[in-house]
Amino acid sequence: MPEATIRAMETDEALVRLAREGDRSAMEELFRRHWGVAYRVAYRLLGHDQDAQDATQECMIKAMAHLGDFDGRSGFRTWLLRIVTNAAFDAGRRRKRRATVGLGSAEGDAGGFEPAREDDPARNLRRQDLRNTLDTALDKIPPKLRKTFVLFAEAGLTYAEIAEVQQVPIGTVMSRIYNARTKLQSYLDGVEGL
Amino acid sequence: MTGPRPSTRAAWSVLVALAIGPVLALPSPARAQGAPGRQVVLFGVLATPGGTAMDAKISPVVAAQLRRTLPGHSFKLIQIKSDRVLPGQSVELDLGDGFVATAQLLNPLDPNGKVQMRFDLSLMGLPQFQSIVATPPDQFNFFDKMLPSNAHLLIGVGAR
Amino acid sequence: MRCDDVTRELATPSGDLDPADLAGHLASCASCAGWASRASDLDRIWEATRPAEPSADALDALWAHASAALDARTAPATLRFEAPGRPRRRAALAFALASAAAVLFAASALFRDRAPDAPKVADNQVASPPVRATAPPPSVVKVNVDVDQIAIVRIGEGGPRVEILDETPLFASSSLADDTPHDRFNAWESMASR
Repeated sequence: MPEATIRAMETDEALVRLAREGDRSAMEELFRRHWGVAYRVAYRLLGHDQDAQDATQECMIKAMAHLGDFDGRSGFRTWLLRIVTNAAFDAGRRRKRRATVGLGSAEGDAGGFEPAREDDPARNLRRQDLRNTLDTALDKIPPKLRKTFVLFAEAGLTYAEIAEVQQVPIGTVMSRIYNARTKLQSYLDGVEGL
Repeated sequence: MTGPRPSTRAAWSVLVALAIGPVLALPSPARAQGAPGRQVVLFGVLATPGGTAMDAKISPVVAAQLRRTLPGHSFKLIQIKSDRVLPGQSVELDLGDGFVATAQLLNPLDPNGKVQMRFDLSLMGLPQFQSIVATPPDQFNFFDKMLPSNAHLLIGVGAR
Repeated sequence: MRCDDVTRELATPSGDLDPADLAGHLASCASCAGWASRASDLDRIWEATRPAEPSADALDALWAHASAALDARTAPATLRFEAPGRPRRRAALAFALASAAAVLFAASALFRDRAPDAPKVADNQVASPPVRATAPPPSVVKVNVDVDQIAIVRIGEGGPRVEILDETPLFASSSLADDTPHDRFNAWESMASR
């Protein structure tokens, strides 16, 4: 069986153990396995594709370089996403969320990993409009709510995992998700979906 | 007494404020031209071994950072100053007992995107320590001076 | 059944409410039905705007970059990844990089003129003391800090010692994790103005 296939069958815990012992292919598998979700979370927090790519890559490298500090109390993905949410948030603060993210931005962020474009240009434009509208709505809600909601809706973390990431009780997590959702819904009220 | 009496000093300060107030209100040539400057914050904290007391004047937002900088200490804010300065200008902080800390802005944005500052600590007018710091904006860095009492004089400097 | 319980269950399912009761309430309560409809809209928009994950080729490039950075034990350089077939975006990136370089060059020239004393700080070290005729001069400690780091210079009898702490929130205490350097700067600044 090829090594890549064997690696793909390993659990995160096993890969972390091997990577800490210097197994570069285990590290690579961890990297490949989690880069996507880290990037999607960073993207939702930053609202900008290239910033999200940079933040994700930096966090992945940092995480790999500091695997020795991973205490294993949470899952690797939870640990990684904690790094990503905080780093992405800092990056966002520093860059003040780019002006191009605003409503009506024709040059908004098209997305570097954009899937194959639809044939219908109007549909693509509509998607971009929706993305800008959602980014603007996300930008309006308090940072803690935004982080919590993104971890829930984008990364699919459980309430307990988010509580671990944010060091708050599960009840607080649920309350933040509810409040974030209610606010987002009110900001998006009247926006037509695809 | 070598200086004016307190009441006289107060009267003078009012007159001075009236005289220079309008001048201060005008944009300085440097500011009007958008010259590069930075808001520099300099503070001193006395950290005493033992205990976990945190001065109520110290915001909880930064308390954790102080605790991490010097674990197992109580913290009391001595003095803090925040000024907008141009390259070459300084913020000076009198920390008491003869200690004076100075942060001079050298370069508001070096080619690496960092702020460069010179930090000086003097005691009774004699230089004790000098440092040149290149740091990203918004970040504080610390100078930890051990005192004879085993307490620490913790000085933080940051720029935005 | 209270409306608040219903909407909270919809936002953060706990399984505490009987699905049949929930459906019955939604059928008879216009307010909750409206909330549910807006929730559904948000879900659709969220799905429609989900960023695509990188392709296998893209991940190859990202891993190669990360692996090299780990080998070099240096801070990762910025890596821009682009989806294939988008030359206009590449041209825009090249232009942006060239512009940034020009701005940096111009800014450095400007600041060099205004701050003739500005040294080039290379690393965290104790430099040779400046030559002075009077009292013994202190050493000049050069401190070079990166994003997410804190430098602590310990000034003791044995001479100054520079410690660089990694402030990646993961490695910090929980209360640090939720606050950014921006927050902390604001906090210190507000203390100064009190």
